Amino acid sequence: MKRKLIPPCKGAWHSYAFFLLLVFGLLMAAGPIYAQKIVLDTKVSYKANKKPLLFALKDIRVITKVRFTYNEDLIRRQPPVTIDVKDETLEQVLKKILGSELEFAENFGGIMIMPKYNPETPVNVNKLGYIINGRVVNSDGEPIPGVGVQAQTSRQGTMTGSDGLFSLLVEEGETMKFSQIGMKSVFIKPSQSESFLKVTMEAAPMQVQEVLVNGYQRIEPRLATGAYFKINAAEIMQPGVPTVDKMLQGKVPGLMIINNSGSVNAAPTMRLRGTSTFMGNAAPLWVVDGMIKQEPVNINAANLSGFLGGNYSLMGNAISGVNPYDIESITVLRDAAATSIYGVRAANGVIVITTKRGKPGPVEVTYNTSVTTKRAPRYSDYNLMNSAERIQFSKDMVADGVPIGQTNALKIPGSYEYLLGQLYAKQITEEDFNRQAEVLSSRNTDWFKLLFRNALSTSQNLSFSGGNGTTNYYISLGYLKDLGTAKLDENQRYTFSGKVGTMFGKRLRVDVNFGGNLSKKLGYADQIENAFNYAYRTSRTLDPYQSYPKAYSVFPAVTEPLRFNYLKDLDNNYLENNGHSISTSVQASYNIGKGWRLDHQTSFSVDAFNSYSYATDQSYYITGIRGWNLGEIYPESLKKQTSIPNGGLGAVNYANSLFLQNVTTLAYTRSLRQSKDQVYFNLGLETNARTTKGAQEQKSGFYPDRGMQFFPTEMGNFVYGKTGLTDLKENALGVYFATGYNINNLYTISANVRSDASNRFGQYSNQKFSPNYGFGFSWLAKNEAWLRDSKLISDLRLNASYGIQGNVISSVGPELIATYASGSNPLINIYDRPNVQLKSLPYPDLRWEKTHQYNAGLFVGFIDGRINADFNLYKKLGKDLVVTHDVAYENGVTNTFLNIGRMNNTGAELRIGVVPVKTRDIRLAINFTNSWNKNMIVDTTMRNARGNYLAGNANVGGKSIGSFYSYPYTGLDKEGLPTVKDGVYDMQESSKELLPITSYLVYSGQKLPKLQGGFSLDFSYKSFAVSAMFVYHFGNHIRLNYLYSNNGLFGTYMPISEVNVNKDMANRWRKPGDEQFTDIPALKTFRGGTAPYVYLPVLDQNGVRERIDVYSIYDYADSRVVSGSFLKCTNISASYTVPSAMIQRLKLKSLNLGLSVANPLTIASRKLKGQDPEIDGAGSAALPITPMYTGSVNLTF
Amino acid sequence: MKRNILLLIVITTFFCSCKKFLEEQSKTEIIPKRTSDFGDLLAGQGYLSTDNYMFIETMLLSDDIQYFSSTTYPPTPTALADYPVFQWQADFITLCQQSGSLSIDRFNTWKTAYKCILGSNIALQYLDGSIGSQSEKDWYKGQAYALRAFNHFILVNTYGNPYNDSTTTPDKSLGVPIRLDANVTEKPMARNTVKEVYNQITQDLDSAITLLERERRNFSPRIIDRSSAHLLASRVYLYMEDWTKVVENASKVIEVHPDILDLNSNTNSIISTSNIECLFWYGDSKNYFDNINRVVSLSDDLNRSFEDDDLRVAGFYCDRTPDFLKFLFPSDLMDNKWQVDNSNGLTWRTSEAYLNRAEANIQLYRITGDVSKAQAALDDLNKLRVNRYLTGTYKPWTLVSGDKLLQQCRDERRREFTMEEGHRWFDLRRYGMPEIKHIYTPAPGENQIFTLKKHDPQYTLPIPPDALQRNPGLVQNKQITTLRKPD
Repeated sequence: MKRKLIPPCKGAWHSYAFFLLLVFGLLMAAGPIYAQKIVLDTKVSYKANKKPLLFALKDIRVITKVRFTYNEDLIRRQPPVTIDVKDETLEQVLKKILGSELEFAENFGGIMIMPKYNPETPVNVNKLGYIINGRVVNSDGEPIPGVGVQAQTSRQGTMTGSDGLFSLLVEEGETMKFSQIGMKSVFIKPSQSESFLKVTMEAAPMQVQEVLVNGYQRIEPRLATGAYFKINAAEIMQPGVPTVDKMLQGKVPGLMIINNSGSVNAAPTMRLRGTSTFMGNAAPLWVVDGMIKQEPVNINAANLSGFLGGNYSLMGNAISGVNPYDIESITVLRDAAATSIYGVRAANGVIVITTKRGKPGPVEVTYNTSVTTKRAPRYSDYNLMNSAERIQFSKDMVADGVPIGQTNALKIPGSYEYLLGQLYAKQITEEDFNRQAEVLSSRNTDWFKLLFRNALSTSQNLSFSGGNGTTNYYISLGYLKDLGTAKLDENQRYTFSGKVGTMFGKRLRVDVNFGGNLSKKLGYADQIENAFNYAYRTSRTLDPYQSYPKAYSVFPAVTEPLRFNYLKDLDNNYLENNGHSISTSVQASYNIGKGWRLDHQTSFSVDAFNSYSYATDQSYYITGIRGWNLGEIYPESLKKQTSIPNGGLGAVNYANSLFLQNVTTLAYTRSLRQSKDQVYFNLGLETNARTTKGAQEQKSGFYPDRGMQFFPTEMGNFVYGKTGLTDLKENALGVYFATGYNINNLYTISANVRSDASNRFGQYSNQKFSPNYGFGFSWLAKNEAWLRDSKLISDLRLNASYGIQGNVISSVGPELIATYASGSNPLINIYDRPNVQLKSLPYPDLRWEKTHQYNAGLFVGFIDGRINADFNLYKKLGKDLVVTHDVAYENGVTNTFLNIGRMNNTGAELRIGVVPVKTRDIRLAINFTNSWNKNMIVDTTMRNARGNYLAGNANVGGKSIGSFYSYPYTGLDKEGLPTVKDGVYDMQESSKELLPITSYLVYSGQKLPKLQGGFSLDFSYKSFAVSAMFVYHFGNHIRLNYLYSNNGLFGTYMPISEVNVNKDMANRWRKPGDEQFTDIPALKTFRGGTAPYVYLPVLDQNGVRERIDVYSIYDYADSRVVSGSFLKCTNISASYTVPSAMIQRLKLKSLNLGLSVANPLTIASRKLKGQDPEIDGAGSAALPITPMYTGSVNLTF
Repeated sequence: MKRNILLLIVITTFFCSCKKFLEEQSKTEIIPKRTSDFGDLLAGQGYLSTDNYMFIETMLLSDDIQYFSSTTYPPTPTALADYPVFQWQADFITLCQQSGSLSIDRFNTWKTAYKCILGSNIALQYLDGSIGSQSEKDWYKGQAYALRAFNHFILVNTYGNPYNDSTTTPDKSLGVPIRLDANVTEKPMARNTVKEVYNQITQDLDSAITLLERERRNFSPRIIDRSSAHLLASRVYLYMEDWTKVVENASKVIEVHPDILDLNSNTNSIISTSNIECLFWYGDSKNYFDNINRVVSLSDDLNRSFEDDDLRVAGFYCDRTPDFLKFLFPSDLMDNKWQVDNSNGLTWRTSEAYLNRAEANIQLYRITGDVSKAQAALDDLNKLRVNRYLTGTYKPWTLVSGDKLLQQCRDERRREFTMEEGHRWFDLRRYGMPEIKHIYTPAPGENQIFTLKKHDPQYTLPIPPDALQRNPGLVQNKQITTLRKPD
């Protein structure tokens, strides 16, 4: 009966020499020898008293782990057994309990029990049975233990062992059923000739089937009680999009993603289930293969004050370096039951990324490439004037007697105002004037064309995957060159990633992951305006290649104004941020046996960041510091007065961080009550340490084109020279415990607890360990007897959870904390002492911020998963949130910290998937993802300044975070000036009682959507597939771009000559009576040349009567607020998979061609006139999001 | 195998539970424990730091100042924005804010002084429990008491009626809230009376002097020592008109620091730690000239009071305005104190001790008729003047009537403390709040005359509106209710 079960070596290995870790694989491939033993010799100790034989056999099975095969009906008929044995062989035991009617034999590593052959009983030839041996595996080829195998008529049954093997006696023509929770049942009619039956079971459709990985834990789906959402990367992949976060928009219930900028380096704003902190970071935590991903830049901000161009937001977020093609799946953990094992960091949810692992089989090479072009923004996208219109506008201003150019000290040649000034001064004749005005009028400089491009981006990815079943590997290389439409916007990224997993014997599994990335990002340095801002607000009458005067020198001796040209400035300012990251992790999983498993993961990553930035001597920024235009000659004495007489300014910034993380988990899983129940627990310990070292230096006298050398002066070094070092060490320790119990495969209760500690300075010693709890309950209703056989309802699950998460405020502590001066403050103060200043008074009463989170979920599937719905309701109650309150100056400090903030989030998420058509050739699938979130600040004692109400960062009780307010606009008056409720032009006029600002301003809505989500349509016919993705936001409001505030002269708001204006301005009030037709205010100045002021019946933050100019009132009026709701088509794509017959000659396994267009369409309020509702903030300098076209090719061979 | 696993767990646990791993650490922060830590913190928080402002508004209020428009350079609209202070407008902070002033946060002596008081209170509250010798603790506590007295003194003189206000008594007029602990409270705090504040000041000064007399250390003029404390006491008693205590305290200063810098033989800066007169040096030059686009210069009135042989005009304190700057500063004299020494701030000098003692003796002479007091005063004044005037032309003062002598002494005081430490403004208040005038020139050649009447309510500044809003317990000072118009 002995048989070799697995061939020792499955063919030759494809060897790849560079692949060092293959060594493991080769070792393994050399000797997996299946341990043989005689099952019947197993020693058993067992005691039973009048136990039914069926149960006795199950007990013995549990003790010996030996598979039994028998006919259940036959066993049931046997009398109960009484036995008491110690250390006897299984053979002896079975002989004792099986009695005289039954006999047994060892077969295929198990025991088969059958009725004793009795020659007197007639043998029914038709019912002659035969033994079927086989193995049950999942779609990845891994064996599935515990699968119920039953012969449908003869009632012979068994269960697969840990190796997935089974053997069963079946009758001729009988059907076998293979079933397990979470798997589609398989029915097979085996034929006698089948020597070894390989059964592949697939996961039940649209069900969280596989083992859920939440980063630190592997959970069987039936034991999971939290709100998990898992999506495969293949479902969201958008070729041409560089990072996975952008792809998640509208696809994950509860996750809101806002793309604030069209820059290739911009990271989107992410909120999972709303915002729940006032002071802390509200973004979710990213975990990649069990390793926490850190934000790329971690430099002491104080060290960077006064540095050039420090735009570190360019560096993106924690996963900017992860190649989306390496991702297998994304699991989003939303509620407390799911996240509490992550402790305090997970207060905003966790996004777990699992990367691809090798598939067993010969090496498979996948190559894909994509080419993307992004359309440059153009004038037709915006409501801006052309040259002729702008000149007509200036003419009208003159006609209306608006004081153009009056307060504009520097007249810009290239503007109508300048020509007019020359005409008035009789420097040119009227003829010249008309001729030159005509030139300007037809100039129509296309700034968008000059400053933007139709950007061409490419990405290339190559991956290898393979393995022999025990050792599998995956390795990939990726290159991305992503150009933004703005000329300085660029991102280049190289990634590599590898994964080797191998089994050492039967118990130890080791996975080694390694990966890295290298990125180079270019952008606009802080000292120059970004291209969109410049193009949007600069008049088209200007000559783009001419340098125009912009300001006067700081030196009275220099009378020549300083000149500025944007195109020249683009060439003379530079910002480059480079990031390098290498990470490795080793995961070892040791199966101790008897349900115990020990998992350990050690990961480390080295992240290096460097930034170069400079402004040359030709840049306007340096010209301003130097005090004269380059090339003008001034006396030597002047050179001694300026701090940068030669060269420009250069800055470098380096930081390296080493992140080390250890996670050790002891897991125990055990079936109880004859596999009806299951219990598990995990005990884990996590430590992580991050050390960051860095250096920053800035010096004057920089010549990038002369060997990158510095030629500083003493004064330049004194004023602009800066040097700083960064040395940070952050250690943290967390202990967690997770446990759960499942009853009858129906009900699961679970509990998680975690406690964190860190080396953070000045923390509460009594609260060093902060507890986080989560409790969950789930009911797998589909497994109930009354639903089990329902054809209509294919799945039904309910779950509920509750948890508390603590959050710590790091800026204050129980003890008095003093801090050494940093940044520009001297280290030694004038009293010859170390410059120590008070950082925080002691706050011994401050507690942890706590968020109580409730979640209830329902998952239902109909008709074999053709329709399924996932519905979740949640409530997050944030209590004891730390807020700052202003206190009397007499305290010596300006504010105090109090645990009085409360903020609630209530929400509902619904995801519906429908597959209305599914035939062999045609498939149509529709998915709707909808998330509703209501955020409310409960506390009403918050204090905010007026500016905060208008800008939308005031915290107002009863309103959502991000609520904004506007002036109550009451139309234009007879003078054409905007009026506002109870506003008067003279302070003396009003006898009204002064109101607090909140009761005066009107609520304009919230910036973040109340309801957001997306829907997708996927259609395929044979090898063709088409899909479309739409994203929507509802319930948010947005202010229209400023008409006045952005382009006016300070104090007057009269558009200055070089500024372009909105076309709406042409329809402004010009003569009495116009107020009936237009809502655009007149351009007027008051005495003294300032904009007209209005006194409001309110007190400002200093307790005095508020006085605001009318144009600010207009721009911040409620009439300028429109709905920010939108429906965007984010992606339409088509793909064609070339039939294998056609590509066989090319030796390809598969070939897929795709075309897609991103952002082709946005439906939003008509009043926006081209303003993007997704980009927050009127007058925002963010680069625009434009349509993008991608072609891609995907090959496998 | 089992043993191996156990070992693994033990090792992991051991590694992770390392106490050192979780040891709190920071490179930039400290939890002060030692006495010297609190000494550092006192220097950083209790002493006036260079980024905090005091006296800016009082400088613009006194009659030593002339405020000009700027004609050409620098071309900023904010140059004139601080005119409401100069015009003695009641709600000058609001008006400055609306005219685009860049110095609103600098017109807040209230905020700055209380910040420094917290520095003193932290020291006084925590020093006793700190690790260090009693002697060292006393040394810092002495300084903290003196600083707390000084800041309360500045506050009560800026926002409260003068102690010697003839129209009322100090126990009836409102001063400022006294702060004696380092705890934050959200409760409203009421204003103490002027008398209560002065009582606290003298009490703190007594403590300071006792401790500093015991700890006779003298490191540098950057630290308040016993002489500085005595000088402050003499100033406080001068304001309280306790003449004998003025004499007593000023004499203690002069006993230790009798020397006066002779400008005939010295070209060093007068406001400098290297000046032999310097007792205590603090703050930053910004506190009398904050270089914020404002075009100010010495008033004609002050110009006229300088005699020709006054060496202070010839480059030390002020300077003749050079012709090329006339377009900017039409006045004849420019304040020049801050331009000599890079490190200058504000100083307390021996000269003040002489002037305080002289004034007290003159008052005693006026009260008692004791000529020896007058002679003592003359000796002190001449001792100062001989070092301030050109040798050769200088003539010592001789005995005159008490009132005339007092006037001479006050004029000398005005010249000596030009634009310094709000001296002139505070002196005007205690001289009985006389009528003074400001000439405001919004544009070249255009003069507007503003008058601060005798006993004008503006002699006591309004509490800054934001301070009022933060503390509902405060009562605002009486103010004129309309916009002050030029004559």
